[in-house]
Amino acid sequence: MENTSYIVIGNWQLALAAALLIVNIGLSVVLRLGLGRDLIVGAVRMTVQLALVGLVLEWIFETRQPLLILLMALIMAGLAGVAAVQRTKRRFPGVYWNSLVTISASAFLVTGAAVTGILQVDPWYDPQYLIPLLGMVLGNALTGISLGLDRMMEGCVRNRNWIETMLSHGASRWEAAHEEIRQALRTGMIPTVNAMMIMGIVSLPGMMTGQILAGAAPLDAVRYQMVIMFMVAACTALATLGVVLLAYRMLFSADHRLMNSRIREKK
Amino acid sequence: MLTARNLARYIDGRPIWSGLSFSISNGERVALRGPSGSGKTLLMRALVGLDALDEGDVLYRDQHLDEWDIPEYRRLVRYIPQDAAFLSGTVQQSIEQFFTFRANRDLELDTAGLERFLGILNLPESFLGKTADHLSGGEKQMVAIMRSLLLGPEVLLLDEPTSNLDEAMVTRVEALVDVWMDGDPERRLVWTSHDTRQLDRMTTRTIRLDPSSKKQLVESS
Repeated sequence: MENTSYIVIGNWQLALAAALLIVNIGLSVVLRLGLGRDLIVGAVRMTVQLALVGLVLEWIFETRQPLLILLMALIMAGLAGVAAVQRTKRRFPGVYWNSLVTISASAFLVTGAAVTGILQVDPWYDPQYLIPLLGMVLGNALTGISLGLDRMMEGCVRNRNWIETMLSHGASRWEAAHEEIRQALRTGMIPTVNAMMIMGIVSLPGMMTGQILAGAAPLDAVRYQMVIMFMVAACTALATLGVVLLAYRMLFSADHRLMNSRIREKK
Repeated sequence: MLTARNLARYIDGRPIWSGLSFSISNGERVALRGPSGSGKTLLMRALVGLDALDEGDVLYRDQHLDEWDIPEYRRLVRYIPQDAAFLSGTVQQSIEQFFTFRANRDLELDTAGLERFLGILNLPESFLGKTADHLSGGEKQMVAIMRSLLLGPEVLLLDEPTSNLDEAMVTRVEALVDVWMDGDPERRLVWTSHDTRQLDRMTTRTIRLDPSSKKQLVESS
């Protein structure tokens, strides 16, 4: 890479930035707000996690081994799939598999289409593009999956009487589940839709900010952000739809029965 | 004919009922009696396939439940759950919604029949425009029963259908069910209630679920 157009952050500068937080922790201790511990734990976790990721990424960017990059991508998708389920209040058998399958399929499909078809990165596995794009897409799909799953299970538990009333009046399982599926999809998509609505007005998206800080021309950064948001919206919609439909197949049996006994409250 | 052969249902390995056999012929009015926890609701749910059976077979028109298209079967053998009104929209919309199901496609809402039902229940026409949050528990039960009858079932399984109604309303609902039963000699019903006098009034035969005797079912006429 040619000479960088941004200011490299040294250890002292990092420490200075951390000091911004120390002021808050001090306030919390003095006023006994009980915030101090959470803030410290959060700050330490963030620092350690990012430092580790930085090391791993640095290594992967240097070796540029396609297999290694793919492995990294798989691990990222796996972690996202598990994290999505862990945020839900209820579980059913196979929920982890559902989440893993849908998040991997949708994220790889959308990211794959982006790097090969849209951005035409050469080689396609160039980690400079693949890893951040995949990360953005996964992070948002994760939210969509967990919200969609939560809403679907919540709806089946809360509206059980109504769903079974429809079933017992001749509704097929699809007809009886339709409203719950619709609501689950809507709920899963809300954060993404809202983000698009306010983007650039209320918030400057993190990725765009990063690119601008790194010296990219704002108009170029904006274009990247648009591509990213289209990818995020497509992937979140796909992942939420996938996971909600798989949940539907688990919660409504083929003989048109609501299988609420399969839902367990999280311990 | 609705036939149950050797039905059994276990919960945590303990039989709720077992060895349960009976059949219900055209025109019959059957009381399903038994103390609380004897599995009356579970039996009704099993008869329409809302719960799985652990043992036994259900047959309707000599066809096994597994061979039926379930929505089609439930259109004919109708279970009305307790607390089965609707969530959003008006009474009218909740009734119309049920006519959009594939299994009910060939049915059309009989507005004259609906008006007649409203008359029997002594409800004003404006009742149809009420939303769910403006209905009392008893009014919701009346919606559920009217809606079910308008969808033309052959067998009606009523689970405590008047539990939230005052005495005057109970009489009207009973009259409505009587009118429906008289409309066709092939119709039949199964009724559960805590009110044994209501069962005496409305039914002519009893299926008894008795948890104390493990070998189930004393049937009396």
